[in-house]
Amino acid sequence: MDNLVIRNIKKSFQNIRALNCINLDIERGVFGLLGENGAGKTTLMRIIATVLEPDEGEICFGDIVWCKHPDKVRQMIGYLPQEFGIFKNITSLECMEYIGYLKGIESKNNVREQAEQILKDVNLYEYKDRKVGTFSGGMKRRLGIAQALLNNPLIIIVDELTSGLDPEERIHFRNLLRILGKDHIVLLSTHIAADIEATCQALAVIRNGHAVQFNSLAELTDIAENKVWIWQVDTENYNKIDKKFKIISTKTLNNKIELRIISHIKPNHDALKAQPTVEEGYLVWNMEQKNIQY
Amino acid sequence: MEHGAKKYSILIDIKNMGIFFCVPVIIMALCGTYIVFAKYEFSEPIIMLRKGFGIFPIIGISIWIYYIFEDLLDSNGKELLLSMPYNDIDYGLFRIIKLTLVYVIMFYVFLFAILVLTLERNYVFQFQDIYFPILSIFFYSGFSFLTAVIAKNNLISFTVLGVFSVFMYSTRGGVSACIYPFQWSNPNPYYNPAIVALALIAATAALYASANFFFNNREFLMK
Amino acid sequence: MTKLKAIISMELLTYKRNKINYFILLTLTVYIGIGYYHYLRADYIEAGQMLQSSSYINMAASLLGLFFGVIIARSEKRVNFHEILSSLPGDNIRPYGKIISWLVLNLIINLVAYIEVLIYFGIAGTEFLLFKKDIFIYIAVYWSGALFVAGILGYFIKVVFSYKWWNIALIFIVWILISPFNILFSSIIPKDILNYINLGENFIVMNYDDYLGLNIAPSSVMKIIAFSLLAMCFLQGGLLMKKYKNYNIMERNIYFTLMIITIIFFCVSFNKRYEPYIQKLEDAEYYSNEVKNIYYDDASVTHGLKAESYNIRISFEKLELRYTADVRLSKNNKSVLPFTLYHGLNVSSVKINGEHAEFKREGDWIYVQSKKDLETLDISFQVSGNTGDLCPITESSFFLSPTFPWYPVPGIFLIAEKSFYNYEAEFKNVHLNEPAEFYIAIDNKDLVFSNIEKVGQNEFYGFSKGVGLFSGMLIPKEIDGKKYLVPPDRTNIIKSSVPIIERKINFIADIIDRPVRNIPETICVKPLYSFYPKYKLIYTEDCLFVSNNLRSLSVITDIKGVFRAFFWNDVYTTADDTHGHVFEMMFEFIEEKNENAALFKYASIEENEINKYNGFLVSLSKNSMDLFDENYEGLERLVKIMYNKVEREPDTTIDVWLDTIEEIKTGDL
Repeated sequence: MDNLVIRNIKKSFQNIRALNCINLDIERGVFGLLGENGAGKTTLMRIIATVLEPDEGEICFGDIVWCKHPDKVRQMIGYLPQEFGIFKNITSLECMEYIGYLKGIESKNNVREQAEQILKDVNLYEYKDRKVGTFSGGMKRRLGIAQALLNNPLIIIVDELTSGLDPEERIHFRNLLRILGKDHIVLLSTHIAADIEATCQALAVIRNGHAVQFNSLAELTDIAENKVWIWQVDTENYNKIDKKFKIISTKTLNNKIELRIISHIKPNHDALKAQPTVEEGYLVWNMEQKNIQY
Repeated sequence: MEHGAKKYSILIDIKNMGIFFCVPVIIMALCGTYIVFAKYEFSEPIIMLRKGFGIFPIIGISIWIYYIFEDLLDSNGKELLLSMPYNDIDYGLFRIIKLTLVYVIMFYVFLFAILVLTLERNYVFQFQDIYFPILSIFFYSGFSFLTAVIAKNNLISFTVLGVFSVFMYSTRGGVSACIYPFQWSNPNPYYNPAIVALALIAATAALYASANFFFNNREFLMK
Repeated sequence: MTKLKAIISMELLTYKRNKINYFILLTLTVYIGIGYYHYLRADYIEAGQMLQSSSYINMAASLLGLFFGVIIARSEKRVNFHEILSSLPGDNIRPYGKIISWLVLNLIINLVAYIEVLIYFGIAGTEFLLFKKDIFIYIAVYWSGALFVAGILGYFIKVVFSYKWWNIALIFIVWILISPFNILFSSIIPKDILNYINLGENFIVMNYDDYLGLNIAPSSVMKIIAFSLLAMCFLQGGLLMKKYKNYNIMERNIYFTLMIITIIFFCVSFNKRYEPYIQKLEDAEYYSNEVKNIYYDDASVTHGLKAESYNIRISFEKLELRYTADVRLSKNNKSVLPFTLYHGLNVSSVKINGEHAEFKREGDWIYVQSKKDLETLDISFQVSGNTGDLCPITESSFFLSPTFPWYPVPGIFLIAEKSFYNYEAEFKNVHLNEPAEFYIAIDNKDLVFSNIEKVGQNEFYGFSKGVGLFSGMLIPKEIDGKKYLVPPDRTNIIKSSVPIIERKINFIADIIDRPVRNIPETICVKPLYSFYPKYKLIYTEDCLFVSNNLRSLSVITDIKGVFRAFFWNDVYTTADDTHGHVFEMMFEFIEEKNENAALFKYASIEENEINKYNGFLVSLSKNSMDLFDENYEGLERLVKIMYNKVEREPDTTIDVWLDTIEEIKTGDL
């Protein structure tokens, strides 16, 4: 399978530079896009989904070039945007069929078959004849994922996949993405590092319109190697801890609180080195970019 | 129930409306300009004044009424506003009445300006020139309040108002049982002005009451 | 194609599931029902007026269409569906899918409205149902046509001016511009253009004329099509503007080509635009100025000329009549041949026996230079123009009276006069002294009637003193030995008026001692010229014309009209029409015997008010009131004597009336 190659993509909105020379080479599998709010993730997703056009740069997938063959691109992608809605008065099956026809599935039977199968995959089959206006937020999100999978797209673009999903659904869709990643390129944009950790093989971190690619999660987590500490403190002493320490998370254990801290130096003689997570790797990377002391 | 702030400043309402505050002002200015500069077309100058100023400036109140409630009825953040501890009557009905009074004053200021600019025309005024516009404006204020609250959509609201106005004007009150808001500008000769006035007052009261009924129902507004 | 079908299906599905559309249909039903309430429930059914007065439906449709267009444009964005759809193939064709589904919705609304109107008409039992095609076209042009065009314009506005401040303001401005109220802009935009861009009726307050029918013609259908295409071009232009790079070169070229074709079609449509008929009211002023004939001083009206035959080939161009008339005159030695032809008709050429002849056009007369000693005189006239308010021509109907010189009548005839007593010109009957042979062919697709026999598709042949041609919303019927040519729902009132008119004819004939005039075999309705009762009837030997606006029997059968038609206008006289007016007053008084009669009113005028009225009339009224006794014998005698005098001596002066009154009073007469 070809790679999705993104070269020198730039995009501005009036005077604001949203993307500044993005270069990525994405292989088959689940590829994460991580970044803070306003970094440019959604803009990049929209450009790949052909919703927006870049000011400069090129995207190719094999022989297919985005600017020259937009219709061919649209045939082979599935896109789930961050904010997603559907006409309230139609049923989920009608919605799937509609999008199926737009994606190029000609036969009525084929469309219905695919639609019903995918609805089963996303646990919406029993609601296929219910109007979308009656769906909960999570159900709408599932429907959004379902429409992205119609016609077996080669590239699946998902912006904020697990937004609005309960824990069980979140796990379900992470598994689904992993399975899809075997034969497709799946681009997952999120600011939740746990999603990246659970599903992606590689990722890029976007900050201020620039992207830095990490071909494996380990590359990012290694940045935080020897900088993450676990420290258990008494509940009464918690408040006395020096505020200079960057506390990532806290966990309550009987009378103690277990802290995970990012620090160059060991914060306390009781603190133990911890295996860094993707989130911690990202945070360290981010702090180093901003020259923040920790 | 504890109430929140009881006094809602009209200045905030005006700010809330944004650019739509200016729309009726511009309409009145344009109509006024037309009356001042256009040629006489009618036997009496007062008729031109009524016809020129008695349609769009009367209906213009609908724009103000809709847009002070747009945030509560048709915005993404309405959920938050609907959870606020406002008093329904103060936040709804009284606000509207205050705004409508301001509108009426503005209406007469423009009218006065037209009269000053066209002093040479011999206007023959009647008592109805004072009360009819007020009643018609209040009628439209109530009607637009009701349509806004039920439709919660500017297009539907204005369509209903527009279609109703066209029907009323074209048929001179059609089958409206004397509820005819254009009696001042396009009088129906078969209607007794006093009866029309009473009908307008009764209709306005009914409209305000109905609109308020829906306005009090936050679940309905949430839909 | 699959994608387009999918888009159309989805749009139609959302229309079907949107409750607001049903509310709109319900409102439409109520609106039409209101029309039924006002116009169809009473004894006097006004089906045509109901449709013509439906401007409120037209305006509501325009406004609704504009808002619908905006809703259609933003429907996906409103629910956040647009982003997905723009990442899918077929996004470029979505607007076309929306337009097609909008068209389908309009067709459904059109059908529903049409069926409802038919149902209401059926309940009312109106004969207007015989004109189903006209009803359908009217609804399609003025209701759903306006709705469709406005929808596309609303879509265009939303695409180009997406910031909502401009939307609302522009929508209202566009709405007024395409409505009958666009006349507000007449100081900025020429009226021709305003009338054309108005998608409703041009004159919404005009009374409907049963004879002339609805304001529909092929040009009005063409206009809606032109506007639809233009609106779609605007929309496509807006889309191109917003997403220029989305369209490839071929698509852009196709658009520009279509745009050029549309503009050409639009210009052609504008050129052929529908012109509604309105009365020009110019004749009164025209006939206020006396135009003397320049060649003849003597009073002989025919001047010895006799027409033997006419061959007339007619066509209509919008509101104009055009024809070539070949007239064969009997042999005569005149060097100048005078003809009477209404001044609104221009003569572009005259030929005698195939050779061009010199001619002069002066007022209502043509003077043709002839050569002497010609055995036959075949004169050919090329004529075009308008026939004034008495004989209106519209794009879909016309009335050419047999008593009106719409074709050249040999002789010098006075067509009309403007009397002191009227704001209008008073037309006289002008026709040949003896019957001539007529052959007439009309280039017209609509059904045409005539007082002579039909011999082919809009071809007529016969002998007559005057030929009339009638085309309009007329239903031919035969009842009790009489032929009626009347608009829908008017037969009964006309039929009821016949015995009353007969009674009044007998009444008048008895007083003035003249033979009774029989009501002709054919009774035809004519378009409304004036509300004055004396213009309600036109009498010819083969046809009686009854004016439109036939609300009451008393108006149709008013004795003033009966007198005019049967005992005044049909007898051509050059007398000052004041006499005619006086006779009317007197007959009215004799018949009605009440204070409402004009004669009594004039007689009742106080001395100090006399200067506001015609002094003679007041004097005559006061004096003649002295004549009336219980049986009105004195007054009747006055009428009889004066009628004979005036007929014998057309130059009888007004003073003769007063002298005659004195003679009757003193017993000398």
